[in-house]
Amino acid sequence: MAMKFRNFVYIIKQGFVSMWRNRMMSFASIGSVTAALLILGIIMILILNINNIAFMTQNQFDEVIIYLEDDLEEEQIEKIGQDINLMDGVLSSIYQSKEQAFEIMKKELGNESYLLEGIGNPLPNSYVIQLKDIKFADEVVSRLEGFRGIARIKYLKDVINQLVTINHFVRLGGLVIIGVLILIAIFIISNTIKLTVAARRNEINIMKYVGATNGFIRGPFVIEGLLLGFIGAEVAISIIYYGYEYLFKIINEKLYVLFTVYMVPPYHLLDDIVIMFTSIGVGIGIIGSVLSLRKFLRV
Amino acid sequence: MIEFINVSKKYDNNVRALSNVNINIDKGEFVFLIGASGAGKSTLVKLLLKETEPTSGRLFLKNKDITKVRNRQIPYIRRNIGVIFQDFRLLPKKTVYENVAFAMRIIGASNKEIRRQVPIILSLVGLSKKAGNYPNQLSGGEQQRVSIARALVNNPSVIIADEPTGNLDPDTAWEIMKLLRDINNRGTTVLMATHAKDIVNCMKRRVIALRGGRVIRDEQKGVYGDEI
Repeated sequence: MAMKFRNFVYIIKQGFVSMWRNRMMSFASIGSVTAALLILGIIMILILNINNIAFMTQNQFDEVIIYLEDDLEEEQIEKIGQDINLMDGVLSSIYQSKEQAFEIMKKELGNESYLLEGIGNPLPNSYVIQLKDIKFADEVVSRLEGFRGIARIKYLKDVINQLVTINHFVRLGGLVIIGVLILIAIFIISNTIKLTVAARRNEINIMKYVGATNGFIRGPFVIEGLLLGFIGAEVAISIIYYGYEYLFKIINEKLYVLFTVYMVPPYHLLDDIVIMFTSIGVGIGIIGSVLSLRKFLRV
Repeated sequence: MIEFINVSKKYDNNVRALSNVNINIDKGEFVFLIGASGAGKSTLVKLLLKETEPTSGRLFLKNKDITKVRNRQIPYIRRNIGVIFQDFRLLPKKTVYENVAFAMRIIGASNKEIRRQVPIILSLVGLSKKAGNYPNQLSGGEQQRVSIARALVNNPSVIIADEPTGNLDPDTAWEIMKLLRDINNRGTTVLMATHAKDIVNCMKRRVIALRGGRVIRDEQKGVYGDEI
């Protein structure tokens, strides 16, 4: 066991040494791993956020909100409510007066509710219609369009559908791009390792004649590949995490004000990104070096 | 120690490198292997080092059948053999001491063992004072001594020398031969492939001559001969 450990220390040291000797190619390898993982990270964050938005709007998905015109009489409003409840596919409907809506808005604004002081209530009366199932959405909406006194119908099915489609394409295109980039990274790493192999051919030759095991010979190269992949991954993790954190700070509030949706907070992603990127980076490195050694170790 | 029984080797390109070779080398022998280029010397050495497998026949090293072994076993077989090359094959960026220590390190020797063993071997080959020098600061003869020290440091039972004097002037060549003889006198079996007629004739040791992949002569206290 002691012997194995000694070998292990030697192998790791050699890995570092040869990485330093081929600085330029090491740099290129790390860069290619980082690039592949950066794209992966961007696509991942896009997908997660699209999913998140789709999920958050899901609640509004089986709802149809109708905003009423301001000059309606009480009876007209009630009549509309009764008509709605009689329609096929409608589960229930809730009336929300403009005063209620105003109160809710105040609460949502919290400390900043003073902003609403002095301005008149701009919000309309509304009905929130709960559908029995999403499949009734189109039918209900087209019938509602024939009603009098309705100013606007808010109905999110189109948006959701578009999100799902975008998500699908981002995922598909992302997979292809990531796959290609990972292959390129493996290729560059295996070429870097080949350089080291060539530079140390003499040494390897002697090692073989003196009776070094394949594992011992392969060790430093695998460590070198592993290190290249690992460093590339950590660089990508930092860029993605801090970059996203920065974007999050800038965009998130605006996004909420505009669309009442949140972005996925960066710290939710950190663990996953670290584990995923590190294992992919290290995997790329090891595969790259094993590939480059396959031929030459066949004595 | 080394035994070839009816060994034949045919390469993929149908070149017949060895035909029915029978050789038996005992422990402590000093054997010259002579023959023109392409006579089969290198193939014979390669078979012993398990760089290639015989097409037919059987091969023994230290009474162990090494005709067919698993790839994983090859390194352990090679640890019984010290190899010396015509071109020395030293690592240019390592000192004399490190070059020798390297051979111990890669089979997992401890620092303590290395510190004890390397100076002994360096003094045996007469290079104690050059321990800190780099190969390019040494003469050809000194470089070959380093490679001999490296071959010896793990105490192999057999030394295989592939034209060890090929790159050296006659005086230096003789120094190397004396060193190999000393090593042989200490009980290590030496198998030396060579073209050096003078050396073979003067040493009066066993000579195995190869031609066209066959053993054409195998005699004790032999000479180089004209047939080659």
